[in-house]
Amino acid sequence: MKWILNVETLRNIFLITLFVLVFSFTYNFFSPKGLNIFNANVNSMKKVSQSTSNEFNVISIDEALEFFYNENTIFIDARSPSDYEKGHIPGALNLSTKEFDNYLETVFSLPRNKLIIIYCESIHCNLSHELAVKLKNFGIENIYLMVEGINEWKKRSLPLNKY
Amino acid sequence: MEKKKFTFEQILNHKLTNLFSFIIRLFLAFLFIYAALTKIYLPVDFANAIDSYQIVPNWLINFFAIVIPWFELFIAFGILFKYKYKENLLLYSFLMMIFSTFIVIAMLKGLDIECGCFGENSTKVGLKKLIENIGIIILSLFLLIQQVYFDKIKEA
Repeated sequence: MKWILNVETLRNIFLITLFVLVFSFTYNFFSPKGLNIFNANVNSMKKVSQSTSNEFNVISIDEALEFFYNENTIFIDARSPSDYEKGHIPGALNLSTKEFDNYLETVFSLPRNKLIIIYCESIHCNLSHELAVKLKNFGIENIYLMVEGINEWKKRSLPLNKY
Repeated sequence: MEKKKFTFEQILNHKLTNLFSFIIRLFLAFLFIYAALTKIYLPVDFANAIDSYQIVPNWLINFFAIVIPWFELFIAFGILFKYKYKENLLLYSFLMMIFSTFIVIAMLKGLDIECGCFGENSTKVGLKKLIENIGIIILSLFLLIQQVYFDKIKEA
């Protein structure tokens, strides 16, 4: 073991670690994409704007709830049909991102003059964002992403439909 | 005709072994460079990937999201250019073991998440990913053992 972990090796590992720490924090400080070091709560709202050069509007659950009572809003559930059936926002259309080609009729029938709010599972899920990109390519604007997803909606005991 | 037996030292020193080592060194280095750059490019995505494992406390997520990609990058260059080679191989193996442990924990928790290894091009956490990681660990340990052996000979 002394051939692997001797004093010199440990010293070098320490120096490499120190160098990396200094460099990474310095880069993070000056980078426009830099993270807040000890607070990960701000990450969710940054997620979409960093993931693509096409920025989408991101809304919170509270804002989405206000739009929920507005008849000029359409909610779209980007998850699979089976996840959709287990529970979705009342009135939400299912437009599975992974089976997008099977939903072209739905895409063409989407009204262009309404607000579209897309959601999936949670902030860790990328389906809503992927769907937003696809819809934008079909000329659909007014897209908002409810990035906290259906999980957060359920946690707050908000209206839910199940089949 | 007597079969020629190779000793462990002869195997480690053989031309083919050295060629194999060279190829592995390039592979491991470029793997980490690619992984690092995808994470540096999208740090929020990487932070969310760490969060999805539900292991690291919230206040440490961004710390690791900032530091790990640069560790990968520097370790990769260290291996590529054989600078502090042994130390970087040790760090490489250690990091891969940590990543693999996270994958095992995620599998035991039944989490359906992406590994976060290569940013948006990450694959799902699962047995296949775990086996890949173990393979990479074996390769890095092979290089480490070879280097330790060469150091031993130098000092002898």
